[in-house]
Amino acid sequence: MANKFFDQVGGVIKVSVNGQNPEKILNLAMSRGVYIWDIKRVQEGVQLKIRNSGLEALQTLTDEYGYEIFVLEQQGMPLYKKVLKRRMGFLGGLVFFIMTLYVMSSFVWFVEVSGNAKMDKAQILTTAARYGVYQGAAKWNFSRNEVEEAMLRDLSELSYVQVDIQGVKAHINVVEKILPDQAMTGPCHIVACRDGVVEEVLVLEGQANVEKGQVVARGDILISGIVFPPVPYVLQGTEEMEESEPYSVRARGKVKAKTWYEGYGECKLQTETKVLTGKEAKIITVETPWKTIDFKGIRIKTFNDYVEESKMNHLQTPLGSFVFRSTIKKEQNTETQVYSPQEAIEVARRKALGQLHKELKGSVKINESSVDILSAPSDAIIRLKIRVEVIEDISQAQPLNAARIGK
Amino acid sequence: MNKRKEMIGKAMADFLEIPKDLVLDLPKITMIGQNEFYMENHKGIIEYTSVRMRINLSRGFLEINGENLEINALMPEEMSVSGIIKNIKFVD
Repeated sequence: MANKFFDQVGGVIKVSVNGQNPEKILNLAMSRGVYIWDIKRVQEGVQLKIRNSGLEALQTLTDEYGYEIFVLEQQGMPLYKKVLKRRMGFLGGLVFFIMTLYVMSSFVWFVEVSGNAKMDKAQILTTAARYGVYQGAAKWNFSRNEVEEAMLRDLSELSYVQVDIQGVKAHINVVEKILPDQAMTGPCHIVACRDGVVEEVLVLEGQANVEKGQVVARGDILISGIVFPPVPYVLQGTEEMEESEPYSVRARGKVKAKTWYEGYGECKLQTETKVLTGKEAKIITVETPWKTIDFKGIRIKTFNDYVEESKMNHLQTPLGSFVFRSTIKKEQNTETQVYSPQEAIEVARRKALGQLHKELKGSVKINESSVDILSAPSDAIIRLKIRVEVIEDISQAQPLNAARIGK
Repeated sequence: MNKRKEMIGKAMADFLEIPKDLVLDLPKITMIGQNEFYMENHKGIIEYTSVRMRINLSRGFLEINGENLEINALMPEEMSVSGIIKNIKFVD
């Protein structure tokens, strides 16, 4: 049978043909190419379905042969056309919605940067903006490839840029170049960068100046870049060989030494700390260029003592700036804690150690520690100094003046 | 004369193994159970009521008796009938 979809598009009409011998009309319609279906015999004639386009032809036939024709029902698009004409507002809204959705989704509303470790995000964003990727940029105004290429050209620190447009979000993914360390190539010494007692000397190149157990001060040469060649063994009686000249090298090696660090910590015997009670209130507000709208929680009673955490999302649009702000107020109570002197010392010591760890960046092992209490026993606060001993690499390259050695 | 032409046609169709409905303009009827009737090569409707249908053929006509007979589709070459079909009779 014919395609139902096209029937619906063209419109289907159910008619009733009344009169004697309606078979005649059926045969005539059939022979004239009027497509008819769903024919049903009723008392006074037949009911049948025809396409919208066939109605006129059928009417001509019925008029010609003296039959009556009634339209019983209409289906399909032509019918909806009438309905939609009555509901122009709805149709207009629909069109407006689709248009708005299309237009709004053809701009970049969010720009995100990822993959940058050393480079400033703002610098990447400004460069991207220069080539057309910024908040509120129309998507058709830039080409991803061109932006990527231009950004790579402009930012020499980057080795790869990917601009990924996901809906209204532009994601800029960068990979930074890993530049080789600017290594010293000329001859140099290895000097001490801290005072300490040498624990271990490992010479890769150059001549060791210190040995285990020796005390060195900052700036002392640990491994010399000036190498005196060993005196060759000379047999007695043979003529003396020429004394060879010292030469300079780029000294390499590791010198580990015991060094000392000091940290400071304090703790009050009676401290007041703020403790969150767990009660919190959330407030959501939206600031539009015209009005500030409170969505939630504005009527909640505020707490006596609270901390506020707030998150903001700015959205720059051609209409102005929109700010979505969600604030969480957390109630807190003050709790007083009393330490015994012993406990206070422990707390202060831990603080001092923590500070030292931060200073040393956790890269070395802390060997031993001693604590000096600075405060008087009558003080309401315990202050202490902590001294720790660590073993670390104190070597540092220092170029030497090559001209001086030559002579 | 007509009969002779038909005889030749039949012989030709047999010999060349061509379907007879094409050569001789014979009706081709398909039925699915008792409810669906499908026919090709009809020549129009002679009578149509909900209990009886007569369909014109190239030779004679076909009579269908049943209940609630409806014509689902009607096209110059083919037609489809549904309802409860009790019997089908060829009438010369």
